[in-house]
Amino acid sequence: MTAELVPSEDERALAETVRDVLTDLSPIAQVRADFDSEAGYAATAWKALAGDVGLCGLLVPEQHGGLGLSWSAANVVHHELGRALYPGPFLATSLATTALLAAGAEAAVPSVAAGETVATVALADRRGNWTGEGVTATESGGAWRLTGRRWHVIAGSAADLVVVLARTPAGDALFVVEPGAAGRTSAPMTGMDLTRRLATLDLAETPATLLGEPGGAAPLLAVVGRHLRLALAAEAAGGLDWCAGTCVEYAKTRQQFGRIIGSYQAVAHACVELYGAARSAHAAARWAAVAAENGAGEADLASHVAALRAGEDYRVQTEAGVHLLGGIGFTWEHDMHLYYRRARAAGTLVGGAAAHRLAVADLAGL
Amino acid sequence: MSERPSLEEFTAAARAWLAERYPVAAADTGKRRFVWGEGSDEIRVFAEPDPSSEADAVDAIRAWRAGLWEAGYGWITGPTEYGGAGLPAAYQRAFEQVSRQFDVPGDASLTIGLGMIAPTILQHGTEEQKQRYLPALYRGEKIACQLFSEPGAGSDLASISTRAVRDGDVWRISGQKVWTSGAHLSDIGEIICRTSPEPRHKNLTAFLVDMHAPGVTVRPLRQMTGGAAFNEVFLDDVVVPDTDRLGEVGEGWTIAITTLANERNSLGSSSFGGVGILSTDRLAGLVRHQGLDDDPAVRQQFGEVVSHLRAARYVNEVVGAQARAGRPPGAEIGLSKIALSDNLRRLGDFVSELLGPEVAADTGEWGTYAWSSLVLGAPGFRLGGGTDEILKNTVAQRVLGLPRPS
Ligand SMILES: Cc1cc2nc3c(=O)[nH]c(=O)nc-3n(C[C@H](O)[C@H](O)[C@H](O)COP(=O)(O)OP(=O)(O)OC[C@H]3O[C@@H](n4cnc5c(N)ncnc54)[C@H](O)[C@@H]3O)c2cc1C
Repeated sequence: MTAELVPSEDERALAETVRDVLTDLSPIAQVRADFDSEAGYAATAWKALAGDVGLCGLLVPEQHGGLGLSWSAANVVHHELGRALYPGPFLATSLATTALLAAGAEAAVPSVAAGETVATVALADRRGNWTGEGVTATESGGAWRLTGRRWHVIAGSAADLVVVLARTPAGDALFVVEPGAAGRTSAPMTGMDLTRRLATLDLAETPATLLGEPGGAAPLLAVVGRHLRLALAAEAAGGLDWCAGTCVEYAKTRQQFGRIIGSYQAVAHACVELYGAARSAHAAARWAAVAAENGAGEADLASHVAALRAGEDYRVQTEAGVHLLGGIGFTWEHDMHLYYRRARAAGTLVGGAAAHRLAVADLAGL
Repeated sequence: MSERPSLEEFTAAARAWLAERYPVAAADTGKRRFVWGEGSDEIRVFAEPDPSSEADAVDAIRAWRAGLWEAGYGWITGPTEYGGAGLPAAYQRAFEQVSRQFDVPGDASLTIGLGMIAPTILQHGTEEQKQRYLPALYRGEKIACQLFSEPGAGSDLASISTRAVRDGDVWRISGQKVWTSGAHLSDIGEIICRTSPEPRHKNLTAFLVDMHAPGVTVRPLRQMTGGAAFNEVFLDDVVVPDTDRLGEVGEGWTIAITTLANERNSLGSSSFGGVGILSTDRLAGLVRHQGLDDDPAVRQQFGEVVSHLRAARYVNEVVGAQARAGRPPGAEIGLSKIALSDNLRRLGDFVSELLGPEVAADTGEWGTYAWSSLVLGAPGFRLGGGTDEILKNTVAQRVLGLPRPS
């Protein structure tokens, strides 16, 4: 069965379930309370999403304990999570799952799929580049140990299992570091995005399991990278959806000079642009997810297009959103800045706009 | 009544029919491949061939349409009572797809008639009008134009001043229309006239006017590209029978809105522009030809432009899929036209940077100065079919429910 550009009935039902759980258990007041909590997210919502709905097993084949769904289902889920700025470690866990499955390391998957083990990927150096440099992998008697630091690890403080990018003598490779492994420590990074915590991960002679071959990181990173681009594009579309709805509502009620501000053309057109950005981000994210699922030739190109366009729109339009709301938009109590923060930070997780532009040029045949 | 062919049977038959009549396009998968220096380098935003070759082109298009009609491909989704084939939209798409594999004349000068006016007649016309005009339009026998804008009324269409006065069984129309695309080729025009002193939006009536009738004068109007795809149309006491009134007296505004909605649907999603304005291959070919393919800044700009072109295509495909699922687009389709205008500007800016003086003056080299037509034509695309501002006003009010400017 091939995925369709219009979400299937099952996908719509899944999205609705996720939205209902988020409305009940992770409304924005809860998200704000989560900023100050130690884990950065609340156990109740996570249990409902990971355990009851089974989100952590979304992309995991049924024989490994998952729901056996695919990119187009992930698309609607990321959209909802992005719309609600859900702070739990779903993105981190699903990236790690993708790496494990791509490497054929199924043994670790069922407990992640069941939501019992929180997982993440630790791939970046200080500048955000995905390179093994900075973490050295050494082998002795068939056992690997890792030493060094990874930066910008999503949900790094909360994760049990971590997929780490490190340098072996044969080149970069991915490794699994188990919960509680010796020499493993993590420290939260102070960050702009209050709803998605980043951390550093320090490894000192930490035992690790090699995924695939020494020097075999590239194909695995390619799959993880694509997953991240699709996820962030869908999140951006969801976030823009919230921003458009919020700003249009405000423009219909706020009065200045005795008139509803939405009757000023400059305000109305800014609302239209925000709405248009939500519409096109949604379409790009959806198109790319469906292309990935159907194995279309343009799938990789589309994932870069979606991440670039949705990411840029998210960044530009959340600023426009703050502006549309006036002073209240710049006020801590209003939620608009949480989206602005998300947009600014998310764009840096996948290499940034310049990297996407260059990738599009390569993939489009220049 | 014959049984409906399966989509596969239909497509195979269409392919065989096309293969018998038209050469295979230089294409493998239905997408024209671009080879630097081969074939025509023509680029155009508006169809504006010189008058001598235009007549031949129109003949070829009429013949193409007549053949399609004869074979049952002229109006694939149309109701059978008006000569359509009564098939679902999937058949129409399948036909368009196969026909792209052949070098066919296409619908060029008929797109206003087929994309905007025929659907309006289908929705609002009398039985007699449908019988008389729909087959003629789809057969290529009649070419149609849209007589809306006037010197004093463009965006504010409701303020037109061309008058139609009832005189027994006929109406007498006097006034002036302007920027009428294709009027010089047209047989009929959908015209909006003022017919009463009622308040705005209630005082308009639509007609189908015979462009060859006495009192109609069409004067080609040169546009800034140098070509003449649009015209001034003068109407001096032109007699139109009441049977050619489209819709009720005073309902012209509703009719106009239908036609404009059809226009926006066809503009935003059009794959328009002749050979490869929007072709990534052609753009990459130009970058290489200019020796700039290793320049990282140029590669970035190329990636940016291509990402915008693709994203617009993805939006159109999602909109198309939603329409097929029973949710046709509303006024927000205007955003697709704005996106296309924006992309034409982006392309024009990028190629201008690549070409430098070669886009400003013709060095005679293939595929270089040709881009000047895009640079000169793009601003017009942002105006015709509703300006950006008007389209955004429409989305603000109809989609977002924002108040009208007071
Ligand atoms: C290539 C081309 C083909 C065309 N083909 C046809 C055709 O086939 N048939 C036909 O009937 N017409 C045709 N037109 C005319 C076209 O529909 C009008 O040019 C267009 O509607 C704008 O009207 P106008 O030129 O009178 O400009 P105006 O309405 O005078 O607008 C001037 C400027 O003011 C802005 N403006 C106007 N009102 C508002 C407002 N309320 N809010 C904000 N800004 C506003 C406009 O956006 C524009 O920038 C064509 C035009 C072009 C360029």
